[in-house]
Amino acid sequence: MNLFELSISDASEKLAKGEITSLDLTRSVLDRIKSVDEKVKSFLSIFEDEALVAAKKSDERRSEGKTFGPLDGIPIALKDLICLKDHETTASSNILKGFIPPYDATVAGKLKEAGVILIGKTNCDAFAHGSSTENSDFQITKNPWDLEKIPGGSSGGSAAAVIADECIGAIGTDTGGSIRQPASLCGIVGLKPTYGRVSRYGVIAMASSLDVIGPMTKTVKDSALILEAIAGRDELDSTTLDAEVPAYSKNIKKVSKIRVGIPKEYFAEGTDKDVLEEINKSIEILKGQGCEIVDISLPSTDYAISLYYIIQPAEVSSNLARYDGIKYGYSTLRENPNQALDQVYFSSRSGGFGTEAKRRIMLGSYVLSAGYYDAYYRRAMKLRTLVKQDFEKAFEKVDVILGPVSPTPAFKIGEKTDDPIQMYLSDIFTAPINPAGIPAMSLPVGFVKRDGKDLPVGLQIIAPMLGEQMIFDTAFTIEQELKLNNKPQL
Amino acid sequence: MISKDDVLKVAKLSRLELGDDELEKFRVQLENVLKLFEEVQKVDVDSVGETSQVTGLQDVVRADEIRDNSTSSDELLKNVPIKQGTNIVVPKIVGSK
Repeated sequence: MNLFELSISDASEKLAKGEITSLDLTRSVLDRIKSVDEKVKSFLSIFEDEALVAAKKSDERRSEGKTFGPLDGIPIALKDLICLKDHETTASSNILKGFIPPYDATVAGKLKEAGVILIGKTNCDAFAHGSSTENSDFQITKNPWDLEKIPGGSSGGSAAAVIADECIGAIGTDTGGSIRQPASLCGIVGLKPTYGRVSRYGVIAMASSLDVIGPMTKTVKDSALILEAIAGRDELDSTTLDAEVPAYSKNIKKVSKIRVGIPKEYFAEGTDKDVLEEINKSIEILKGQGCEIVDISLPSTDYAISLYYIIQPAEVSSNLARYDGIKYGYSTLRENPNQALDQVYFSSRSGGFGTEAKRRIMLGSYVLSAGYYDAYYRRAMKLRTLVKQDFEKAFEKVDVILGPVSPTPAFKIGEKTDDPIQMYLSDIFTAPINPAGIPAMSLPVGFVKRDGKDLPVGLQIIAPMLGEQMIFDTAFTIEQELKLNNKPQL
Repeated sequence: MISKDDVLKVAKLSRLELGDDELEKFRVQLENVLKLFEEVQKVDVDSVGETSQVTGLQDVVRADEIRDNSTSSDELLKNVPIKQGTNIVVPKIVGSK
């Protein structure tokens, strides 16, 4: 077995036993990137020299008996939305090309403190706007299972890097499905934690009331190991929750008698039949473990995607107002220092933002503008209450809710780029979760054949606020039964 | 129905300039997205309160004290397009159009 194929927990165990060094592991991952990233295009930047230095330091700590914990010496990739001190951070957008953050995002700092080897920044849809990573201003990431297909998005670079073994684990962000959907389409474990569980400080904002940061990993236990390291209250993000961070990975156990909710709206027409077949197999597994399967209804599903596409662009238009060509980022002032103020705004923003960012800024400005605010934005905030209540009511009857992550497996590159509505609808099962703030995971549960290739299917496991342990336990139960270990041929 | 003038107005609010091709493309797309939103107009929300955040946290403050900050102003200003010393140079604001 090649070292780059290891999971975090297996690598951590081998490091602890002295069977491998972090330097071996890091070299193996860097070699893997060199041999496959030309095809997959997961990375925007790779920190080879630094990673090797950090790996040596990790090994030294270990030999002195001063290791920082289970993540010490493990190579992890960061989505390019996350600020890393002295390393270009672009959100895959031209308007931030060349931007060098003077500080670390809290999540990057916490990973460093845990001894993680940060090996590079991964590609995403610019500003995380998208479901295919095709909206990156720099490159198109390919799905490692079929290089003609999209990896999902917006954290498509992180998802592709994990399944292609270009890292041992990765970090993504999720505003309406951006961790779960690419995890589903690439066949990895992607967790969207509870809103406020992980600090957003230093993570380039998309929609601040919806954004979360989470792990993208090869196994459920790895997901728990990363969440433990990055979760917790942060004085630099006043929306973080002051709740204890449990020892998720140690606590993981199989579930037996829990109540599992199956929302009829998630199994209706419109979802690929082969995808649903794979989802149903997981439900059968839980049934076989003695879990009670309960039919439920989430009536708000019909309009949840619409309210998401009102609230999210509204917050986007506000958050992206900071890119004005004056303080940092792309600026026409650099070439033309005598430009008038308004001209700096118009020309810097028009030249720096890509099509999707422009589309969302304008949509957001529209729903917030005088005369439309009540009909769209205020109404969407009211509907957000109904979505939240829908889940709260459901969780009086059940412990977890299961359904598909994506209505289809990975689609072809270019298939939906000219049709924003079709692209938006690929978030139909993931977008309702963020307005409610609750946690949800995509767990790989099977494959469907398309164009002669196996494409992964992800099961969505949804729990109430701070119910991450229930998600890990449920996912672990299914993972242990399925024992999927297929890897794409690259 | 979204007109070209509607798009121009919203582009101006957004501080974006659009070419003629972009203008028509965005007009059609905005119109289609707003059609998708017709779904939200059907729901009765008269007696429903608004939700703008989900944490329930309110007025999170810290002690008003000076913190040690090791980041120098040079570091903080290194991404600024035009600067003089530790000042950010901006175009004339008063009296500009």
